Amino acid sequence: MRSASSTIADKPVLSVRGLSKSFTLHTQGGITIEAFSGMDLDLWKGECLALHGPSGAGKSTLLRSLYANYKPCAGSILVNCGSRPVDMATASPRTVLSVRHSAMGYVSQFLRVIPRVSSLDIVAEQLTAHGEDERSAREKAGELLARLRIPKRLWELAPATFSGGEQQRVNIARGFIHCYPVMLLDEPTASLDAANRETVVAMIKEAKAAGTAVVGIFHDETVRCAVADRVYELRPRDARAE
Amino acid sequence: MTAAQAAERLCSATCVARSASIPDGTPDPDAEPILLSVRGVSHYYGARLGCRDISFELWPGEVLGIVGESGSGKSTLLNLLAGRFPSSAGSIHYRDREGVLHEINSLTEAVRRRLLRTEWGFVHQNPRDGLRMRVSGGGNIGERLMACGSRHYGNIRRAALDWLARVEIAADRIDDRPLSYSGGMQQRLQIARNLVSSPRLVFMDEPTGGLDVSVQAKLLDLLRQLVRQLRLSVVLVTHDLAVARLLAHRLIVMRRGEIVESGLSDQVLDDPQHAYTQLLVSSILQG
Repeated sequence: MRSASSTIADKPVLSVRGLSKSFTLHTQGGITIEAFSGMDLDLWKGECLALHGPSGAGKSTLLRSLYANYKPCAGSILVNCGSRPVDMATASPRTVLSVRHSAMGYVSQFLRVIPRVSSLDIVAEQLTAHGEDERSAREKAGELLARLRIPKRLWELAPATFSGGEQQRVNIARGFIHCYPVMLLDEPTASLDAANRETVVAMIKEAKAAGTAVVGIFHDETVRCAVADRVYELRPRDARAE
Repeated sequence: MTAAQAAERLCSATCVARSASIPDGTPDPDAEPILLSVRGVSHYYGARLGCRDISFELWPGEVLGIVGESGSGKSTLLNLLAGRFPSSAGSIHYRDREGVLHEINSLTEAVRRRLLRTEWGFVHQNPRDGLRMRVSGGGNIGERLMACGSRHYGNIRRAALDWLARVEIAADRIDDRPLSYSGGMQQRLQIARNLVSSPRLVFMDEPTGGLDVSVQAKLLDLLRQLVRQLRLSVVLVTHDLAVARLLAHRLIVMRRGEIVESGLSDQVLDDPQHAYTQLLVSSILQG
């Protein structure tokens, strides 16, 4: 008899078909900018797919569309993680929030948080939101911040005054503290020094080993080679038009 | 459940900490019972339009933001939802703790008052509209409990002290009148007065509106925590899109009394579809 897990493993965790995204700018004469169209991709458990292409090719737009932060114009984004597959392109807002909560982590390029909340709480909240008690959540959050070399004296401070690299590391800790089936990473190592870059590479590898499927944008080639199993090329708009 | 499924479930329960799987049987969020259902609601002040053909649902634990510039009908809608005056057309249904459905437009005054006391809260932009300025801070909180039937002075005072602490007002201010409080403290007191009776649904009209930016941040953080801890449902009217982003799960964008766009908060703000929403979002000053 096959176990439930092997049936799930037979299907991609994330399956994108015919995905298109364009922006219509009503305040600027109604011009339409196409980001990408007819995109297909599959993502399997434990693998890392790197989105690659020049600036403006639509990498971040694709990542944001997968998270339903942007609204696709056509196509489907099937997430096969829960008891039933969900199409992020058409799901209700409440279903999207529930999929994000249970199945999708997203590390954006910039940290956006409430001004007054401490770094430790920003990270720990991700665990308490998944039912962990506050004490152990804060303990684990501290361990992860320490691993990312955020000095302990900063833990109780809100990250608004931190340097770009420190904010990015708080952001990474926040994204990685809970183990999601799917992780979306938008240049997680962009403003990090070599030592922290290596730590993040190690964290991505650990997440993959735990079964997380990763889609990421990594400008740093060393990082990309270290974590990516496959590269998905996005071509710039002009090249596609010809 | 087959033996394999049972084993899988048992396994995922024991190794959930560091494995990228999610517990099976996640409930369908859209199948939960709806708390508030609004259908085709319109309101006219004489010939002038307040709002037109408004429909939406609100679920338990959900924060719904209503955004739009002043005069777009946001406050009219909020007042209609809270039954402060009947709508010209349409229906508003509220499901109470016992599961009884109430149509807000046809409530008797007695039932409306009971809902306001025991099931709802209303946080006004100006704390003076929601507080009794000549009664002490502790009295403002206690009064609400007494309206719900509490009689024991010691218990009421303990609850008042507890709530002052939760909204970060020093215990030694309990006997001072709100007149002597700062604007931010008054607003936090109004929130305590509303939440002490454990409402399920709170209407908020620009709760951070009249406050300094630094005071706003503190209040936002507090509101966010309380909403989570108490699993409150909130209808939040605000013209501040940053406040909407931080607090609301879903947004409704209103213009000239009508809904022009609605959806997931971050999607509406980061990828607005309607011309008016695009204008609103692009008009924010980058701080």
